[in-house]
Amino acid sequence: MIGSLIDNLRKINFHGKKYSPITLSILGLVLGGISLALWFLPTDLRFTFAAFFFNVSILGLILLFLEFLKRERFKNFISNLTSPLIEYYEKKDYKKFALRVLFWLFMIYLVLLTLTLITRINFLQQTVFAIVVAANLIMASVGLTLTTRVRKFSNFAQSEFLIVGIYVSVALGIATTKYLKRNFMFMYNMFSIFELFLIELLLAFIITGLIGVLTEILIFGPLTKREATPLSLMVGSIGLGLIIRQTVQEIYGSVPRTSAPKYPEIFDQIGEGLHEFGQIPVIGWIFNFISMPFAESTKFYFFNVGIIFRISRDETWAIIVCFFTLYMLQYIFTKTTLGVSMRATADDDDLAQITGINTKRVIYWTWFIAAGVTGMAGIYFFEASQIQPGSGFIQLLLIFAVVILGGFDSFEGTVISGFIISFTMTVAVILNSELGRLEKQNELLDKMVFWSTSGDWKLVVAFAIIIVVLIFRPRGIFGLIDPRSKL
Amino acid sequence: MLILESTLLSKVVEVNNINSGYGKLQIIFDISVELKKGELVTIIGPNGSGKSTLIKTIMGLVPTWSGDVIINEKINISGMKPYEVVTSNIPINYVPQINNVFPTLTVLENLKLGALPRKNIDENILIDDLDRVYNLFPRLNERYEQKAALLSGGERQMLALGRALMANPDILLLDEPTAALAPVLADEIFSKIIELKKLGISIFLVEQRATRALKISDRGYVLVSGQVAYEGAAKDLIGNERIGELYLGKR
Repeated sequence: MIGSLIDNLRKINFHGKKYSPITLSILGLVLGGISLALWFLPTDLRFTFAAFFFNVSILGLILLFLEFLKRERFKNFISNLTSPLIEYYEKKDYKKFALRVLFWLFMIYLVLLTLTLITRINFLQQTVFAIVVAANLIMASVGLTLTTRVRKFSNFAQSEFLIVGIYVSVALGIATTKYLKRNFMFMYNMFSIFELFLIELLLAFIITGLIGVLTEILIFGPLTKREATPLSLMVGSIGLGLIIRQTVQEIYGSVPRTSAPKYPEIFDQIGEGLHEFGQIPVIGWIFNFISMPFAESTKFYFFNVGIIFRISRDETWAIIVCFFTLYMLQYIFTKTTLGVSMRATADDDDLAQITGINTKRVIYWTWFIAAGVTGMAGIYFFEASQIQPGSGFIQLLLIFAVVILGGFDSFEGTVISGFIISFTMTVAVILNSELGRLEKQNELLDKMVFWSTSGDWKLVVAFAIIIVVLIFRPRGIFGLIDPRSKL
Repeated sequence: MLILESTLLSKVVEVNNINSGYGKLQIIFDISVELKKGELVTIIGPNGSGKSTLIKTIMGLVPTWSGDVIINEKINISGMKPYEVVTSNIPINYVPQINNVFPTLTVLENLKLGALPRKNIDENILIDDLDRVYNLFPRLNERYEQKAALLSGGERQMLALGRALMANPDILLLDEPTAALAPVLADEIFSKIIELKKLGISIFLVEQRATRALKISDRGYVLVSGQVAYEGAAKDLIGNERIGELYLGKR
């Protein structure tokens, strides 16, 4: 990949002159020097300039490094290292694949670390947050993609499935602490020894999944039988959302609640034990990495400069659960008869019937899986926030943003657009706070611009990006080109 | 002689006085047709005469109002849903006119789905059947990893036929397999249909290219506004001047 990048750079023509990578790298380093010089200037804008020039210089450094390696005896090594990851993955050469992933992770880490050190904005921390948000968004949206693809309408009750999921967790919390702990101490101990959050996830999956199947049996199935249009089905789903929300409110009231996933006590002990070793400089990182799913919060240090970033247990598990779910879904779609039948039913209902697929059964399974995954998503989606029965509906906009950007009925598109939206939102937050800080430092600027740091620009920027992408790709990033798609 | 021979053969499909339509609109009026073992029977007629609807009614895609569809002189499939028909060991399969492949599935996945009605078949038998289809349509073998949406019109028809063949049917209902194809490709498809007939498959063929289709078939039915107007040996139908003037587009 970088090899081809260098080859492209070789071809750069600028006013008739060809610039070799070495010239470009040296140019980058010069700019880096300027950035260091800027560092001592007492201007307000030095941060911005410094950050910009430093980025360019890092790129120059990397290019120089690679060019050096390419010319020397490491030529083979580097060309192997930079060849596309997917090639190795498809060849099932997992050892080399893992090596390359580690290499890229290290490169990304280096860039982020230098950015962090020079700009004082914690890019590493922000990246971790962005990945967690992306994982949550993907989990919350993937169900909508599934049902949209198979049932050909947008389910507005998607966010209510999230609410059902988190309230299953709330109910389980009440049941264990208020009921089991008082009356059946033995059972309570059993619960806390076994991994409680896995039971939570499983229950959320099953209960929300069954609700999904019920909605198809009671609402969408009969509506489709009477030849309802996608629009009327959509309105039906809005009604369904209201019903679910009101039912939850009747049961639990509108008191704000919190429900963090509950972990067995042994996790804390394992985490603390591993953190003891985490103090060791370089090797400590490995222990910290292992302790991520166990300790309540894991901090990563950069020698003794200070904390670089921290990641909590909930966030780690959100990523793990998302990864596992996506892997399972991918497996189901490509390897099992049910999954291929699902895709076939999504493509063409009539043809699927002729082929011998019981489309009704496939649709029930689709609802079960889609709603179940969404219910599971709810537990980690709301783990850090105060929830009310109505708080799911607010997230619906974001879920739809992810799904539309991804192409509405594409599984891969949803995953990629989840990352795009999450990272755009993070960048928007950083820019917003930086601009606000810059304005406060400069009196003149403060008088000229009214920039409020409290403004929530993240959604605005995210949707602006969506509009730009949709102008160039009207069907979303991975939207199907098939003219039969009615969406 | 030909007629005598065909009366001796067993009827694989027998449609008795069938009525059907969409919603309240009746399209098929009291039609009786039959298909005998190893025969290739063409159903022709002008646009909107109910050719496709007849085939869909036999398959159960359009609800039957009254009448029977009897397979192999014993099983009545009228009122059954398509997937029930296909999965309950009735060796019948259907290739629709348009939308006859799954566009986002690969060629191989399309073909494998075709074998779905035969429950729990051995992996080796599946590979043998795949080979059979690939021998019949070598171009599918070249593109087995490609998504069906990226195939050309002729290749799509081949894939649709291949998908139906994977179910190992004795009876095949083909709905205008040469529609919207260039004449060269249409010839290729017709030659494949002859090959299918040689394999011993009984075929109901619905066609717009009437003369071309009648030339390769044994018998024919002419449908006019939902009723059988003429029926007889294919040679007689080609010779019949009235049919030629009215429905076959001879000018």
